[in-house]
Amino acid sequence: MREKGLLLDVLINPQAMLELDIRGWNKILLESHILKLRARLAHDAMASGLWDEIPLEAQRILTNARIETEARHRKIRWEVNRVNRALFGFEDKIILVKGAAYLARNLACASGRTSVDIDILVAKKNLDIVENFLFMAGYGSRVLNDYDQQYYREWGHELPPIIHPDRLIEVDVHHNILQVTNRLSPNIDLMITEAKVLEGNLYVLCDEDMLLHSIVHQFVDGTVKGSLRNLLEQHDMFLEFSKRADFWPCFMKRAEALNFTRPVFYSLRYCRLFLETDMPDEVTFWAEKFAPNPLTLKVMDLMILRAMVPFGQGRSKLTDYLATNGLYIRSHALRMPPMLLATHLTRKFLRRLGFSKA
Amino acid sequence: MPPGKKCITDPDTITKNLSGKGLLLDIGPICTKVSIKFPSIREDFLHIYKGYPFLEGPAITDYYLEAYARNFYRRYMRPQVAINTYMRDDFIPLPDSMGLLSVEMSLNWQVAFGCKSHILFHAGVVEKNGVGVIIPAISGSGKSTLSAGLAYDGWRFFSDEFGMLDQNTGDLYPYPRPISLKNDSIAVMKAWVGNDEFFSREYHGTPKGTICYLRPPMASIAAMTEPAKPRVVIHPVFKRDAKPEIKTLTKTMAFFRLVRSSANYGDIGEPAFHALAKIAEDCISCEVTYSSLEEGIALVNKVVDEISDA
Repeated sequence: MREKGLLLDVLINPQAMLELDIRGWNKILLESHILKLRARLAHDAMASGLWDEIPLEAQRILTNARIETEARHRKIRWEVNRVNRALFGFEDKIILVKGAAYLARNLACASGRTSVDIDILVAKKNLDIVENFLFMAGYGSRVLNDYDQQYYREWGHELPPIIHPDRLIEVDVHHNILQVTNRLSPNIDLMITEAKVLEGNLYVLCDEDMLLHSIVHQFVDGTVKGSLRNLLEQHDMFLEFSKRADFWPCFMKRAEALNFTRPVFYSLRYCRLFLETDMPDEVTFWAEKFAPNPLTLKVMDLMILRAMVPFGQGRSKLTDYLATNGLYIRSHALRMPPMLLATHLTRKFLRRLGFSKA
Repeated sequence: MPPGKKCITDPDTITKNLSGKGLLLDIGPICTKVSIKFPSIREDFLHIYKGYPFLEGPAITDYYLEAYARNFYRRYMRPQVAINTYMRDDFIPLPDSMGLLSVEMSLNWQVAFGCKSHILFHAGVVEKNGVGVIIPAISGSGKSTLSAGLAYDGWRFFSDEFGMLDQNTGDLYPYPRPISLKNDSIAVMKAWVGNDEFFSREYHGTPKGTICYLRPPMASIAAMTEPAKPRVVIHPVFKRDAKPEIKTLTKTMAFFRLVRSSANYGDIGEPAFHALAKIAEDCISCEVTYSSLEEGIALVNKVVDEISDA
């Protein structure tokens, strides 16, 4: 746990960039590239006034990432505008989530964060309407077979990915933040009710929910593999939102109300351990109540760093592999009940072998 | 050679690095660590990159490229080369006999999708007497042949594929990689250069027909860190029976054709707009129609002589 590696050192304290030798630079440049954090390093170097002091070659490489991410940001902002236009006439809430929401709110965590898709959340009853509006505006569903369509609609938490054929942007329309088959799947109406208006019927989740969404995405639903950037975005949000005096009490209450205390425990723990996130003692103390049993915790501790930052010093490829895949299986086991999972995986397996098209 | 950087010259060390931990290929503003697991591809690679600077290192590395076999079968039974660039690559593995193509295509891919620090033109670039000439064109329009012809006719060769413009200074930077020649232009260039030693093997049966690589003149490789100001933009049109013609473009048209030829104009945004507007404003821009290499070169020289006289 102590062996964190250069990349985390630099993310916690950008001044550490000044101490890097050439090998150090190559290491963090390659790792940050693989973890999609290069633009973040560029931003950190600029924001801490170090830009002119880092090697010219590093400046050039980080510039590549910075410009690409800035271009992505422009594109995301524009595509939000397009989605909003496509949904003209739809009057219920359209809630931006993830990258598009961070950008719309100009949150610190958006700086240097690369977003690829637009994610929106709408009430489940509106799914068909929203889908139709998008289709009428020229968006189309990705070609998928019937089983996949049915899988998304019946058990998923979003429509099958919708793409604009000319501008090649993917719009994911969610009706929940977790699959409905996931036992942690929340009562989404609570989140929709508390959403904050941006303009017109464009909304974002409230601070606490935005954070919880990121946490759940990383620790319940997503692959933990290479997900350091998700933890970093939680770290940023903790820092930014806690400037509000009532943030921590609200956050703890909300985590309990939505039953996300276990993933919140993990997020707080690893933010503190890896990113040295500043948080009040009573929050740490409160979170301890939701710790898993010591054995599970030990296993998670061992796996998480290996999976999240898959290149620590002197670590074997085998343990990294086991950690990454162990966590992947875990996310699947959480996602649906055992029988459903077994049927689903059998189908996928047969399809991969080429026995079945369904 | 890059000033202030130490290079490896010992052939054994070069081969050892290339087959193992990686060889630092330093071209213009880009340093790539290349490792190739197939001896035959290494041989092709080292032939065409003979005389290029291989840094002793360590050096800050822009890109990584590994040409390897996915497994024993693909290494020894039916050899096939796979490429890892650590980028969103999805290259179809090629037979090992076409390995150099894989390597060259991957190096192109990395620059085309990764480079935003410079404004990229899909263009050939050459320079003489401080006059930088941009030759933008789509693939198959003869820009490689024209750039190569000029390079072996007294011009300094910058690139046949990637014009690189510094956003801040407005200078063109050389990126003198081997020139990729296709089909009929191979014989034309072999006759023009007159020394087969500068060429790679010919790769037959590729999706683009036959491909052959030509090493740029040594003097161009040696001067790869020296930039030049763009002064002329020439849009080549090669037509077999065409009447030779020089058609000057309006500034507006010159601007839009530059935009169209730039790979990262949209990503860079405003600075790219200003840089391209400046080129359209300051440079002579014309379309040159020609029916043979000699004619093309004569027309380019004619355009350039006119600005030198003015």
